[in-house]
Amino acid sequence: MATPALASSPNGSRVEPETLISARKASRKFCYDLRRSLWYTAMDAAQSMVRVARLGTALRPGEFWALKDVSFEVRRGESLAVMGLNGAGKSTLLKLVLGSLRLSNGEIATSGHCAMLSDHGLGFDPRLTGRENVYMAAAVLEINRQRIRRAFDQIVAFAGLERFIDSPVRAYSSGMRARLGFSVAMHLEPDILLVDEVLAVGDIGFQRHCIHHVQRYLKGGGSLMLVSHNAHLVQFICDRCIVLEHGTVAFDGDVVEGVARYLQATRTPPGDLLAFDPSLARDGPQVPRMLANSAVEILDFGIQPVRSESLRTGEPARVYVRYRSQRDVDVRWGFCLLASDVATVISCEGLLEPFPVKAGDGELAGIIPRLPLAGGRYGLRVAIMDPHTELPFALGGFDTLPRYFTVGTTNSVRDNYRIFTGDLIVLENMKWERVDSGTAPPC
Amino acid sequence: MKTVVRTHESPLVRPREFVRSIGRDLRRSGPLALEIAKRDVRGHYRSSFFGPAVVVLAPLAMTAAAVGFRRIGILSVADVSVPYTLFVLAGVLLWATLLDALHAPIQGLLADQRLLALTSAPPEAIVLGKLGMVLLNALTRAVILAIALVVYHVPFRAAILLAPAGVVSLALLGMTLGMVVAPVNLLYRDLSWILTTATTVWFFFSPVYFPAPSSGVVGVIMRINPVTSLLSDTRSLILTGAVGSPWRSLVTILVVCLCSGGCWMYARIALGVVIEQVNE
Repeated sequence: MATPALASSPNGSRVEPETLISARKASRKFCYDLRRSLWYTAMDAAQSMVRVARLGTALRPGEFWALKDVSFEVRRGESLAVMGLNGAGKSTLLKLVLGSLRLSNGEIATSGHCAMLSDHGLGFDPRLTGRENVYMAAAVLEINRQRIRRAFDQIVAFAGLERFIDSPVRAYSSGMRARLGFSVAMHLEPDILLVDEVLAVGDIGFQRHCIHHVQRYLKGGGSLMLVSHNAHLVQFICDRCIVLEHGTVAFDGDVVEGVARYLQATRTPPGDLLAFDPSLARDGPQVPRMLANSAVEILDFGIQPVRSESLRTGEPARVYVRYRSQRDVDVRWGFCLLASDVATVISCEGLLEPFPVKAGDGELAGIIPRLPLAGGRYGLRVAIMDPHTELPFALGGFDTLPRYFTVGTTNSVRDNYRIFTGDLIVLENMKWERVDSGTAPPC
Repeated sequence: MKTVVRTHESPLVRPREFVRSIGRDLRRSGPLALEIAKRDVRGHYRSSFFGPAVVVLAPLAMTAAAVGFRRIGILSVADVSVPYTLFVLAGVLLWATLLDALHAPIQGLLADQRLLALTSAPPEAIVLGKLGMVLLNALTRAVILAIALVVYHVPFRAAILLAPAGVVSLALLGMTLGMVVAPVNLLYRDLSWILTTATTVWFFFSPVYFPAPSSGVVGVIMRINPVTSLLSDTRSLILTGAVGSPWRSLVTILVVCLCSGGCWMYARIALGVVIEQVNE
């Protein structure tokens, strides 16, 4: 790549880098049924033989849109992350950009050489040796033999495959294949590199090398489209992010916001295995109930922000329970904060001293000065107890569904990282220190 | 820097751009086709037991069978102007080249599905690359035929230098048909089986074991068969230095060239669509 990442105009002012990928309303449909899909493809091929201006823009029986109206641009030197849940259309989008999959609607324009790095390397042929595959990849990228000869030793050394370069690639482990693919991609430097999940591969040391090389590649004017579920890596490498949801672009913008959007989607998908499944709840009333012969019943309970419109980490929150008491009575009350799996109890707090309540309706509340929960979805249970018998007057969310609530994040790198690592609580005001041993390292 | 614009429309919507893209991709295919050809040659012999001998073993066996059947009277063929063994050997070797070229695009695209699915390699490169193996096999067969010519004391004639044109025409005919079948074969794999049956029938309506009869239904079919003039005249050039019907052969070559251009365009359009069904 000879073109710098950011070009200058003749009068010296900086101009926008050229666009290497431009997708406009790119759409792709698939068919559920293989046999029918083959027939549709044959029909499409036959239709293409005659001059038909608009081909296949409507869904036929059995078809669905895997990608619909996806538009974006990638400029030289830019790195774009493509995130989304499984089946969102990420890999389909990469193949459309590569050109190995036909568009069903819309347009994609690419400038320069384009290569895709996947778990098959750069499309390596398992029958061929590593050496032959390197030369094949170079030929696909239209790189002349002199250049590949010059770079060959570096490619092999970087991949750490000196002893195996003349063995068939089918004998390679997936890590070896990925290392060779990455090494070829970084040394041959296609204008556009499409990466399907295998950017940082191998052991930690090699991963560090990978990231370093990708940064150098981007600085040199390469463009990267990275499909990944690794929020940490995406935030570290990419400038922009698009989040695909059900084949459409749900978000296109800043990478931190995009990752937050994606992580939010991963936390609350319908049928999330970690989330509580309401259908598994025992039969019974779905509202708080009064225990038999009890003096107090719970009318409602929940948690609400004190200052802002929504619950946020580190901000005050108010837990409340509205009750109806048959008579004047002493109570103790408390609540439990639960993870979304309902099984993990994060904290139970209660008012241990007896608290008198009057007959009639009322509300008990507790203020959490700084909500310590990380961004995500949680459950809440409450209980009003008889202080004399330690038995409950009324329960909320114990034998029925807990009250779910969501703690919002600030769309920061740190918050995204917390969601990615599954943090439940946030430790604030940490003080960090360093203790030097005072001894010099051995020479 | 080259910009490629992909749309959902048929490439025929912009015919000028379509023709230009064919030329561009053909030029682009050269180095990759060379790599594929080298890979195929190396790979073929790396995993074969008989090595290059396998290219000639089958034609030699077919020749032996024809000569044997004629000798014991199962096959009734009138005397030809050259030794019958040489006549059949030349015919079988030329026929084998035609079949090689026919199967080259079909098998090449099937074998290199991963290359198609995971890279931006043009399918043309795979087809052209496969022709490398066809060429090598043709050269190996030429050596066998040359040895046979020496053994049978066939004198060297300058006309034999025109024979490669006939061989290339036969290969072009085979490749053209292969290009027609290849895209469909990527979709429906049972087409290979139909093709095997069809080529067996085609073999018996081609002048390989016997000269084309001048009359009867078989004679008419063989006259229509484009292989007849190409194979007969190339064989005559090699064995006798004469050509039976040069104009007919020239017309056939011209038609084959025109058809190959049309079929190339057809294959390019069709492959652009069916490529999505290839497996990684």
